[in-house]
Amino acid sequence: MKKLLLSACIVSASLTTAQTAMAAGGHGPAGCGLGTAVIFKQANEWHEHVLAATTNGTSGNQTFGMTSGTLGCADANGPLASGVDLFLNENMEQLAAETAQGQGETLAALSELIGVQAQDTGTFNAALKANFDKIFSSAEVTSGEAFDALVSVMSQDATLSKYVRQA
Amino acid sequence: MSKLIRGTQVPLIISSIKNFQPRQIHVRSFHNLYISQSRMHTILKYLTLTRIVICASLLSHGFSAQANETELAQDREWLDLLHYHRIGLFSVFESQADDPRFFFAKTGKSDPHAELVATLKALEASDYANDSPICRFPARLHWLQSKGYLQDKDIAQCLKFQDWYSKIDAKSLTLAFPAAYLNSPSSMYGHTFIRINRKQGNNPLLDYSINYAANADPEDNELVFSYKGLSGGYPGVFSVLPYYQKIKEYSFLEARDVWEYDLALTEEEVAQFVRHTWEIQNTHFDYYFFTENCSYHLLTLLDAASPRLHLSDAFSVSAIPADTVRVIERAGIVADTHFRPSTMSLMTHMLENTDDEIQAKAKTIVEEDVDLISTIEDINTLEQAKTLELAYQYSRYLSVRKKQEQKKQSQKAITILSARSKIPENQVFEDYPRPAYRDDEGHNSSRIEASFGYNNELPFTQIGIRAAYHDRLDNLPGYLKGAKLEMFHAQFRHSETADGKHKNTIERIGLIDIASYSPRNDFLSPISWEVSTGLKRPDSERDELLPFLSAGWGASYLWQNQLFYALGIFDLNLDNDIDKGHHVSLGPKIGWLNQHEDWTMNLELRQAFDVSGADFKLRAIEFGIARRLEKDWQIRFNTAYSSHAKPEQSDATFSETFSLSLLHYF
Repeated sequence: MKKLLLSACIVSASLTTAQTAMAAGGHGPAGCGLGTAVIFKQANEWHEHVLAATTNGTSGNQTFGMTSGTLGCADANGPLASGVDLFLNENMEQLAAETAQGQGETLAALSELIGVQAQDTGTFNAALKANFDKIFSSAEVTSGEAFDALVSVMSQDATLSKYVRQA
Repeated sequence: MSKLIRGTQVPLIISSIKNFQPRQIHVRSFHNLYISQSRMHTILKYLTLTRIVICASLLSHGFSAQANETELAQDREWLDLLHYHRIGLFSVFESQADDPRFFFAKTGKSDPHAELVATLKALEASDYANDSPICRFPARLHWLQSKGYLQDKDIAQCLKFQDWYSKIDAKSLTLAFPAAYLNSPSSMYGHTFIRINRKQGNNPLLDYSINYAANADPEDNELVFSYKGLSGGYPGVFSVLPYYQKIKEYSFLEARDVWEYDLALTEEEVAQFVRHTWEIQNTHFDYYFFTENCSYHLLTLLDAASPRLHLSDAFSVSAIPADTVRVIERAGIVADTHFRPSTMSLMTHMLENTDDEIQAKAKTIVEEDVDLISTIEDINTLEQAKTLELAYQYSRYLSVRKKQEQKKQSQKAITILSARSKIPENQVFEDYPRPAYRDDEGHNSSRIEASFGYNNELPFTQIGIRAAYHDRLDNLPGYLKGAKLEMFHAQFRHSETADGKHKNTIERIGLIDIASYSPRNDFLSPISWEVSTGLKRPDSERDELLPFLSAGWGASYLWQNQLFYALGIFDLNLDNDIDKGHHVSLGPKIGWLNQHEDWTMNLELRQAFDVSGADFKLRAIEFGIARRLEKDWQIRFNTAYSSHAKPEQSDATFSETFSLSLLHYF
């Protein structure tokens, strides 16, 4: 089992999507796990991308430059494996939708990141689905709150508690 | 066989002395050959010779190194690692990297030999600090080591690089090609990026992707953006991002399906690709939309990773992303392909697989303030789940479309998902079916056409050439229905005049012609629109080639799988011969578009009312029908009939044209 004991290092700061992505792409440990994204981020109108698509450019808010270790925090004290908080932060909406269904690729990525073994993924998906209202308690829930709720749901599950590092 | 080998063995080894070629490679290849021969005496002879070769090269290393390096500097792999390529009409053969930090020699951008000598010197003297030459250029080091140089250097001592390399954890590469999407014909032009599949773990969302893009200034407006992009005004930079970031960008925000192409590369090629990716981190390449763009530079990366690949050579003038995918296909390195539907495609799929009752309920839930549970309590749980999933997608669609509704729809969406989580069934819709044709399997991007026809009973022959990309009558497979994107379309006509003479004329030069007719339904309400500009001969004034600009907005609907559209068209023509020198008109256009795999048909009626400038009263009807012969061949019949008033005449003037064309895509 890949039980990396890394920190959640959730900080509360008001960052835009672009900055979130920047921080995610940063080199140092500073920008990991922001815990600020709510489930439904502001989305752009599709046709705003028309020009960008024609010209192969980007819409201007993309992350540039090389990144190292995007998926991980550098410190090691949190209850779940490295990068879970960041992944949650970046994928709140899709995770909410797939949790409600009880299946999906993003949900599978979350369980892989946590280190849930193949035989436990069914339990993992079912537990999250059953506790949807706890994890995604409102449209304004932040990824930090969702993370805490996820840890609590897993801790209380006989099968899943082994993936949570006890503080 | 054995004779042939024995015959070639001596010259080969001699040439290896002369070139100071990699000994281990020769040893390996000879080894294989000789084992298959199972002839002891030749093995012995070979071993002896090898020993001589090694001694000779060691002895001669000092004074022959210069000559060796002159040849080595022209090696394709070395040139690829330095990004020596040529693309565009006015380019010279030099490195496309526009960053002095990428070179050790001052003249490195144009002198590969100087760069080789300087690189060898720098790497030889290098320690293993994070920004040391060795740790910055692991791919160069690896290649030079394979050529017998720098054997005492060890990349494993570059800790930062090794850490990054192990996080990338590369097993194989996948090319991702976001497909064209509805309501954005320009997306047909496309984009590509590469996913590096990890050895550990199997969820592709957690893999990294390599993306090359213009580092555009968000402050620049669209015009500045286009200009700078075309002229190389933005630095292009490679970035490494988690794949989920890219999927979010394309599948969810841009609503683009993504095609994925697993590349059949060797472990060594993949490793060198990753090393080289590290080398070009933060290296600045001027970005050009039509030449040195995202897709082209991914090819140069692949070229640098492998001596057997010369993918970027296929492009000399411009590089359209779909064509770069075709080049990779042709190189035979695509092992498998996958399709990743966007949220828009999934929603359309849901609409196709639900009945009216479910759709009506989903719409009610999202649009009205009703009690969710009581709305769906009279249907079974499977249907409830379908209703809620459709409602969720629709709610998200609305929140994107109507920003003022965003807060309300977020509230709605979470309520819908909560209700969905109470229903035990997991998957309620079937998987999205893979489209019959991939985007890269469509007709080629450029087109040439030969036509024969009559204009007002006078015969003409015509040749046309189009740089890119697709019009509504072109072969449909691999392209979007109702979408059109043409760039640089020129037509030359040879015709007979009424007095029996012949003349050659430029019939039309289309600069850009974009149209998107995407159908509306109860849930989706896209706008149909079109824009075109260039030079043409208006029916009212066939003697002159005149600039025009035309734009239109409207709506289209699908009925029995056929598209019906109605648009309001604004049209501007410039002509110094007519009254006031210009002509502005407004008027409706209605059309019927019927597109199938093997044939396409379009009927269009148009009327224009004068707004300003000269006084015309245009009415036109156009009809075209086309038959696909092969993937890259088509035969087409067009006819057009128009009438317009001429200021000096009381009666309307008529114009009619028939033509039959053979079209070839290349």
